[in-house]
Amino acid sequence: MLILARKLNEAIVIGDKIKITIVEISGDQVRLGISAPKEIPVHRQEIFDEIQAENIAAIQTDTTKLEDLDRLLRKSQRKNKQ
Amino acid sequence: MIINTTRFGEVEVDEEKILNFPEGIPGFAERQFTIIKLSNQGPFSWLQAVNDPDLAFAVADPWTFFADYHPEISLSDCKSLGLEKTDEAIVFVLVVVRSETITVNLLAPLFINPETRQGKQVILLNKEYSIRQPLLIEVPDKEEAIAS
Repeated sequence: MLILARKLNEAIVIGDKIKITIVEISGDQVRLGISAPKEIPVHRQEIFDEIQAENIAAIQTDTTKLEDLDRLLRKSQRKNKQ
Repeated sequence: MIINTTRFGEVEVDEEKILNFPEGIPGFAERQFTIIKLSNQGPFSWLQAVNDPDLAFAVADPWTFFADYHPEISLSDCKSLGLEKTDEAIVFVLVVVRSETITVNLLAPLFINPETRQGKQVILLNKEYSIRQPLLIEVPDKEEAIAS
């Protein structure tokens, strides 16, 4: 991993289209300004971790539960129609 | 072709119905899946791994539950899926059933290009969607529960 020291308002450039600026430093938090082309998605690491954890939770679903779910769904729709 | 599944036994699947997820689904190594729809499960289907009998995700059509769902995907996701317009895609959301709650992941739906049969779990640009959006299903009252 490349490690660079930066001060407030300094920046790094990745390729010729991505620029990351240190916008604010306060205590243990650093605010970053990221300018990148719209086609490059930028996300917090936690989002990826959460999605992965949710995917792992998703495979615990069993078939009978989905049938129960559909039954409830139909019932509530019937109720709403009445 | 016949694929073996833990939940549904042996399932005959048309090779044209095999979906490729070149980047996989985060957390899992499998790349090939197919959609299995059971008649008694209403809007729910299964994304079953072709080469792992145990691996199947419960999925749903998001618009059944959220009529105004409007997923916006990044240009790079659009390109990697080979989509010209995002509304050409087939979209599923993953369903998670925990003991008391049922949630769907509206923030990271599965986008599938029906022509190339290529799929990807994308992270939407819309920040307002939740990874754990509860499905509001009215639970029948006690009388009805007994009657059934």
